[in-house]
Amino acid sequence: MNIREIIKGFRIAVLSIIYNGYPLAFPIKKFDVVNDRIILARPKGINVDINVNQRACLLFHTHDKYVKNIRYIRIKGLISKIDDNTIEFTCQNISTFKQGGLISTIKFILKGKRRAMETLKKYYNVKQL
Amino acid sequence: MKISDEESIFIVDLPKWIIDVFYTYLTSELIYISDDYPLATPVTTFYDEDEESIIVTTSIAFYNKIKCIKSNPNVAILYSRSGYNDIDDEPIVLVQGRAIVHDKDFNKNRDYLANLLPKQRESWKKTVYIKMARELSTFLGRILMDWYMIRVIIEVKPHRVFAWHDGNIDKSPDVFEVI
Repeated sequence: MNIREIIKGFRIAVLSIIYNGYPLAFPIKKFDVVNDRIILARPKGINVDINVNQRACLLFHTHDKYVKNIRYIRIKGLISKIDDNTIEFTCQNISTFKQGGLISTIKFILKGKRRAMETLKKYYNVKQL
Repeated sequence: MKISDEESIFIVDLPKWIIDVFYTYLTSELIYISDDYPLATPVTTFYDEDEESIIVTTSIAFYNKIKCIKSNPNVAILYSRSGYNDIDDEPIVLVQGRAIVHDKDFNKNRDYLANLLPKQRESWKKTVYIKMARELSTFLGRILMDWYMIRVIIEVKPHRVFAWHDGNIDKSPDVFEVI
């Protein structure tokens, strides 16, 4: 798993943590990958206690002006190091989505249809679309 | 809760420039809680001015998100992408609120969304989503994407808003508590 390759081309990372029971999230434009860990510039305006081993999420996403060609990478992980200037994020689980292309569009439609039918049956007692 | 040294401002109505962000940012990030992890996902939001609510909608096919929000309705929405709108500055706005999931009547949800879209303020965002709605309502769209059009509505009433008018998060945000 080459994190640098995975997040290549994205200009903004959205870091989310939980603070006082609510999600707290902020965009970070300066980030780098060192030894498969993501090092983010710590925003100076956000004065919260962020702790080592705190659960966190990083989201990278992009689309065009018609909200097509959507691409996103979501990484669950932990804050592994923190100081006044940087936050180090260790990746645990990566999920990706890329819109576009005939094959992936067909897969998206078929998977969506199947999942919708399963959900309707399981949670809403509806037998068909 | 304090995330900055600035004092919170208790208000009834959010400033216009924040409402403009709700209306015009093409996409944002919804953050919900799953197994004590925050999970962020890209979304489009709409603004219901009558209810003073932010509206997120998702297909029934993506039920995991709905299940998590039902289990813990404390969510946040981050507006950090200022592209494709007429706003001069590039504000960043983080909204925290309690989410209400509307999934009892999908026909009612469809009608609600059909009425909400024309009520959005004129913007590139509105143009894009009207075009998208038209594509989905064509014969081919209805055949292929019928499952996608079964929509759950997630209504978020802002109760705390952190806002950086100039988009510089190295500065302390304005903090608004909506009462």
